[in-house]
Amino acid sequence: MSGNKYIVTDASRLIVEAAVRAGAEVFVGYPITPANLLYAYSTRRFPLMLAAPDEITTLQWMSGFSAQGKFPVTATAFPGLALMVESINMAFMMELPMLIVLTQRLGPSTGSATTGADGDLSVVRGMVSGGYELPVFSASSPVDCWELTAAAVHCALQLRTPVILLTSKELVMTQFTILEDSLKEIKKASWPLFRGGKSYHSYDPYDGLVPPFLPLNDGHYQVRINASTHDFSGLTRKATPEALKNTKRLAEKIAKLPEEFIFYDYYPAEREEKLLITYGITSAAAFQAFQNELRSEKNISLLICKTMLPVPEVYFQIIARHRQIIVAEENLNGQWAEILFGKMGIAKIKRINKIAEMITPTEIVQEVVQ
Amino acid sequence: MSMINTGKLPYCPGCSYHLVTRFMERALESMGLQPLDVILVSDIGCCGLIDATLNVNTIHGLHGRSNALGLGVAAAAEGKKVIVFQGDGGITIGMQHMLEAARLNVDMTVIVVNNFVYGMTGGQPSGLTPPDIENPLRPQQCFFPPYDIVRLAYDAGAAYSARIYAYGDFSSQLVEAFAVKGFSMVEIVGCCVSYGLKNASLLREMENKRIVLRNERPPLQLKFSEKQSLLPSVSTAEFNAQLNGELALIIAGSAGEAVQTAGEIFAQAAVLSGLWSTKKSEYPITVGTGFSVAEVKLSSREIFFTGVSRPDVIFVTSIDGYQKVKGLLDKKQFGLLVADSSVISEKSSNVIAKPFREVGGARSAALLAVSWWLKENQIFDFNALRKVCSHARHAERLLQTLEKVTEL
Repeated sequence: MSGNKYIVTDASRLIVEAAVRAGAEVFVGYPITPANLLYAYSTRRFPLMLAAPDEITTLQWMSGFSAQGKFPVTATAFPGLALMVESINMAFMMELPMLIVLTQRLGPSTGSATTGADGDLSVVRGMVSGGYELPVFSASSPVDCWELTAAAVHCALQLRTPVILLTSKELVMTQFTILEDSLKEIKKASWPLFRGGKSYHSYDPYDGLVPPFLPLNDGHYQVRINASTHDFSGLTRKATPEALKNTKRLAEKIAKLPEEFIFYDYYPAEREEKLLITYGITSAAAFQAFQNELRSEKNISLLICKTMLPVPEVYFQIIARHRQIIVAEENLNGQWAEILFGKMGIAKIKRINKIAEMITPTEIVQEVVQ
Repeated sequence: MSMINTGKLPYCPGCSYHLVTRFMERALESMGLQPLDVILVSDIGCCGLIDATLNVNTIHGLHGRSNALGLGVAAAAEGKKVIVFQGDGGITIGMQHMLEAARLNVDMTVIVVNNFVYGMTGGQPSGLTPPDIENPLRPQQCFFPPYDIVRLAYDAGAAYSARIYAYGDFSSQLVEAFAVKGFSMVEIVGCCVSYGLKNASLLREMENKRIVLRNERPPLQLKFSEKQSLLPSVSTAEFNAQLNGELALIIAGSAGEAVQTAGEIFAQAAVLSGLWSTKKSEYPITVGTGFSVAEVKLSSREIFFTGVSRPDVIFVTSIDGYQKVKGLLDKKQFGLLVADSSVISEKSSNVIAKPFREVGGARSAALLAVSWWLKENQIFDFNALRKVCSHARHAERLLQTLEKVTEL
């Protein structure tokens, strides 16, 4: 490393810094391990930091700020997320951009606050009533924490939606050496503002899928924001055709996630026969196993997934080129494997699962080469 | 343009929401406000029907959460009048949100229309239903007294809280609340002709219970201010290292004894010597008691996997730390054990005991242990450790600790 410029820091610092550089303005926090460093750094970096009395309040305050055009961020772990769920549904329905950094830890329930995990993917996938998905990214390295945080802010604004960034205790509480060059410049994101016209309807997407935004205090146009089923103007409607069209659009805009928000690392083998798929914590072990041993086998590819939801089509294209699949993830039941392959399909693939400690490169090599 | 956009309000005939809506309009207009000067945050229930009747900006959220949603809206409202509109059911479910907004004295007005029931779901009693109000759906606990939200708001710090009765023209009382700079709340006791109080004349009899409470406090004022980058300054290697390959160290001690600090300093010094390093922390959720473990990896190549299965060196500086790593020690999953003399007295080819605690004190034992080992093994330049310590908090104490390695 001699001669290189580097910094030494933990990923919490990178997340906070990247969020602010991307345009986030307010952090609302409620203390919870292992997200405490994010809270602490936010007090020093965000233009405004507020301490909420609980996680329901956190999401509600954030929604209020977002409705005023101030991009909000919070960081929590599963117990906090559980309290936020109804309010995340609200923000999704209201189409309010925000970022929720989920620092995963060992569950169920309170579990073990200082033990890492990748155990909340199923929760974030199933938390919106009706089965709607939010964009969900998963960081596999400190550099991902930098890039994906910025991308998440851009994505939330571009699609007018809450976005979830999955991390874990193993990233946000670990100190890393990071080359300065690896932290790319972050561009500030902008709100998809209404450019003016005769009238403004808060949920009219015009010829796109995302309605242009105006804050509640705009003053020139009436703004209506609504968490109940509503028409283009934002007024509550039972299941009218216009209101249902609006509701269906919510699913469609997320499903058509722009290409710029599809993140993954794919290392194809010379002969694409076996495919090792992973994400989050296990990515580092998988990459080390691949670099040191699996790559030389010539027939083992590695896919590190970073955009988790909506599931990018390209993952299925890569999977289709291989005849044996191994999915490694730090949870007991193979949550990512089940999302990719379903309950029936999961029986046909090989899984490497573990809880309470990291899957090691040695364990991965043993299972993949076997 | 008037505040109300319809001649026909969507409430049951005789419902107090008619009066509340009309007098709210009268109050706002008498203050010279235009519709787009107002942001209305509505809750769930009959109160949520108001949005469509108004020309103001509206945001319609969840049941009980409108005080919290309103706080976020009001904090960035820049001169707009923010009004939260909810019923007795909403304030019951979201009492904490109201108390927090009152405590922070957020500049907004909360109107709670207390008709003693959940009107939209069939007339169930709420936390604000008095025990003498007849209700066929009353569970036993509702014979207890209702919440006095006016006093609760006052005790929490609201600039203004009042209870009034939906009888006659009460617009001037609303003006009084709207004019407050800070958190104001008005509980308006009213009728629900379907399930609650059906005879408005009873409200007149209650009017002697009207109450206004004030706290002289400045309102919450939040500022968005630019702050400096959090990224640590960029460095380049200044010292030399002798390591070719990877080395994994575990420092195991007690919480509150600067184990993590020792790990961080050691890892940073290694980087200052041209190595890559990572440092993981582990401790029980009780931060101030029990074990504290720092896992440090050093490598001449980039480190991806930060876990440590078989450490090359384990440093144990307390009984807490010993108990935490006992599993590794029992299985002989380590290269070298460097322990405090108070923990292990036996010595062997791969077990070394030194009086780190006695020489350095409990809070310096971890740093002293890794410093001593570095001095003996020269993995990287000891001066790198000195340099990192000289820029750390408590630099003087840390530097003194480094010099104590000669006493071991």
